[in-house]
Amino acid sequence: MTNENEPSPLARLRQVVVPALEPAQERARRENIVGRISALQRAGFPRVTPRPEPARSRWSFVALWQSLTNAVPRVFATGAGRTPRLVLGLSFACSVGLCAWFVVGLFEGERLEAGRVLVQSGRIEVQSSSTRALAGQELTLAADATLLATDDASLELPSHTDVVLQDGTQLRIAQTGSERTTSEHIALDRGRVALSVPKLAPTQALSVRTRDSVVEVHGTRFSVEVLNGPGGEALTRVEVTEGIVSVTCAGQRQLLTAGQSWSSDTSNDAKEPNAGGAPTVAAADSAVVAPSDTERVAPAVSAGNSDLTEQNRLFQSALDARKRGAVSSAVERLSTLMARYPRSELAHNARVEHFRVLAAAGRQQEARQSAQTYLRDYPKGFARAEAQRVVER
Amino acid sequence: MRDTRPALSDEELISALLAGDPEAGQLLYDRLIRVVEWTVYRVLGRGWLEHEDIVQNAFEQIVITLYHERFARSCSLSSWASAVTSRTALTELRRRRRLQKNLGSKVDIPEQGLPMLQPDVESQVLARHELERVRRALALIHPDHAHVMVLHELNGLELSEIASTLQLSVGAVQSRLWRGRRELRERMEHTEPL
Repeated sequence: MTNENEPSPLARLRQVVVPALEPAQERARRENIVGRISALQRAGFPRVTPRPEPARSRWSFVALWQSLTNAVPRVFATGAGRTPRLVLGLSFACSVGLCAWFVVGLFEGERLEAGRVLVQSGRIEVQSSSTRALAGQELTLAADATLLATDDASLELPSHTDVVLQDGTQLRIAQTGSERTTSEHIALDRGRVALSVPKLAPTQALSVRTRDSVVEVHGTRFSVEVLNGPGGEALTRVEVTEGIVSVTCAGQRQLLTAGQSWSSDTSNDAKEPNAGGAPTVAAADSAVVAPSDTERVAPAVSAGNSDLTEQNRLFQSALDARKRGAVSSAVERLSTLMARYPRSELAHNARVEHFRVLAAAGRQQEARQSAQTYLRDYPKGFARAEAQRVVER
Repeated sequence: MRDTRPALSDEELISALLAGDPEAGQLLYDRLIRVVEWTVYRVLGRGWLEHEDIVQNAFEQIVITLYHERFARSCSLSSWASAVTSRTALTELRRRRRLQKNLGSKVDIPEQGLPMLQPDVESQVLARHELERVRRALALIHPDHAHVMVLHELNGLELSEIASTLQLSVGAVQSRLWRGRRELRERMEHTEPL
């Protein structure tokens, strides 16, 4: 319990006295800022980036139709002779065309929509339209829009995912699907992004694509970097800070858990040997580096690749089952994984998913028991706060 | 060159600025630079090269929001400027924290000229680290709570002034302040000394 009479910690910041600038520095700053204010005055106080046109939608068709139907009676009321008929004919032809466009749009299925992002900090350039956005501005992006971070910057996607871009990073963002089943896709051309992804609904998805790999997210924090290989080819490196991501490269799919990193560079095998005997999933052209974090539970014996493949398969199938809403199946697969491989890296994540799935399905008693087991087995586990909440429910 | 005209009221200054008066920019700068500079410095320190950019960015935001009628005119221009600036500075603070967390960049923020008259170097270093600890905790608390705390405890705005600036009730401001203080203390307890 905190004592409200204590001075606030912020009082320490208030004690800081701001040192004065040198007169020359002060003059330069004054000229700079006053000049900027004058420029804004001359330009009519524009918002720094003009708001782009909204994306094409069915509502735009409705608005067009309404304005058309309102306009026709007005033309008849004011016009005379052949002109009104001509206008009516043209209007009819236009509306037929618009109807066709609307129907095609309805049955087009999943198509690439414009991406919408909020710039949280830094500076972002939209290269196709040569516009610049600063912190606090929302951007609606055309499907082919390429973003360039001209400074360390961060964005927020509609799924409330934070994307931090290193200076010089170039990427494209697109969304597909409807509002409830949004899939967000980031195509990383160069540079490095770090993502902090909130828990996604089963119908939502988020992926980061590079030239040679696809990283899919299941609610986590991770970073993806495009590097230049020794032969000038683009290589991908993924580091997972929290949760799980799956990486697909050359048709091989594998899961990375917290603390693991992966590279599409095969020469990494020699440069970054597996640390601590933690599990490694070796694909034909990629390398997974296990965490060196001593807090994590390391397996007492190193498992063979076939075991690890089986663990990955069980875990992935459990996640897929959860996505489909097949709770019992998901729980069964997670239980199997924990029973067969109690000392595996994935057992920790499986235990977390186990109580999450049960809690989400309303099976509170089982969820509480599972969360209690988690707290007992992983007292310093990354999901201990969440488990505690489930126990206290 | 000093302006020799009689001091303009806030309302007159805003009208002159929006009418395109070339001298209004200088007057606005002179009136607000202290509150903008102090807010940015206290929230962020001056270790970062973009300090000047942030001050300029805050001025741009102030001018643009004045034009787009987001200034409710129910508070003083100075209070409004401090609200806009503290929002900008807190956003920057959170951005730095995210960068540190997600990209693993080691950010050293020297506190130049920390003028708390510490008797020796060791005490100065401790005080500097303590300030950094407060800033790290501030970056973690709810943005709205942090905003109210900075306005009240750093910029010295009264609760009623904050309420009219942010268009909230005084009760809501009090509530945010109380929650912010509690959250900050809790964060400080869990933030290890550097």
